[in-house]
Amino acid sequence: MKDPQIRNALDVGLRAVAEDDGPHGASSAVGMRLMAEVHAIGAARRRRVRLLSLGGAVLSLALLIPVWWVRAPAENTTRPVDEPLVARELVTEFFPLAYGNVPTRGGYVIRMQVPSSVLARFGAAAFADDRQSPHVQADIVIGNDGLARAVRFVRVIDDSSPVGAGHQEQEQTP
Amino acid sequence: MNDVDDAGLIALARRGDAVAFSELFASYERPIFRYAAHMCGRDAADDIVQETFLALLRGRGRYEPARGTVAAYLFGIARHCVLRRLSDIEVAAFERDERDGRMEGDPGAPSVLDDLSRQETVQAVRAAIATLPAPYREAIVLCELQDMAYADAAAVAQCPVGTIRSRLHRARALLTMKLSASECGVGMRKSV
Repeated sequence: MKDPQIRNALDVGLRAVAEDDGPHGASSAVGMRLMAEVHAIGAARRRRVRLLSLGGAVLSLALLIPVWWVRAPAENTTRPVDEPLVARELVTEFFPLAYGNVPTRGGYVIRMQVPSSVLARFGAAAFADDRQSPHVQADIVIGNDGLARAVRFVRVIDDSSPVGAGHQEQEQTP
Repeated sequence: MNDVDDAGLIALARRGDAVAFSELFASYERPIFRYAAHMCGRDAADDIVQETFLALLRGRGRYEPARGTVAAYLFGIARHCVLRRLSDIEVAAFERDERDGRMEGDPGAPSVLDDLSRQETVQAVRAAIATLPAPYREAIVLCELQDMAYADAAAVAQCPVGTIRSRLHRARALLTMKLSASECGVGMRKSV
């Protein structure tokens, strides 16, 4: 047989094998096993996404709770100007501050501690308690523009704390 | 389907998209099965197909379109599975082939194929392919039976294109020789 004939015969033989191979493939069990793997991957991915979402939510809460916790006491000391104070407190009248005459629409009160020496500047030195506390509570009225309008001093009454006489003091009732 | 589509399908399949995986599997399962069956036998071919696609799903080896087609990538994975199964002797044949280009036998010997029925031809050629040394068998399976381009076959076999060409040439010569030698066993007339 000549070379071209040999090559041709081999080509025919190889083509026949290729055609005969054509329909053959992996068993259906392989396909099923692999599809199960795909579904497992999908399920695991969905679980991961859910866990990540949950983790994100937990993280957000973990960040927000301390913020809320810090803000919460501030909110407790902030209330509308005309809201009555809690019971068992003695307060002075409101003393106008530098921006006391600036008009404002609404505002809020912040309670904070100020040095007791401030009392003297407002002529309320006698309001200090007998224990010579270096600090005194003060309600500061803040306008919505952020400017302080007035201040009054607050003293929490307890049994051992006598009320200073001769000062304009009010006992707050609920 | 082009490789851009297939690359997208690979990404989707790795995220657990069953439809994308089905498309990939339908496209490449049979070629890989046939390659595996010729290289390691049908009993191992199922396992090799499974291992290949599992490796694809689990992301072993990143597919980079710049480095070759999706087919070459999948055949590359399959080839690793094949090499694990081939005997040490057969794997060593790849190394021998790299440094020894000699060809044994007489490629000009007469062939028996013309005298065989189609089914007999298939059986004879299949048997002859199975006895080829692994590197030549691989070249014949990829280039002749899978009709893969030389460049793609070279990418799968991780060798230069020239090596694939020479392996294919030697493989054809060996097949011719083996088929000629099997003439007596097959009991067919020789038509010269």
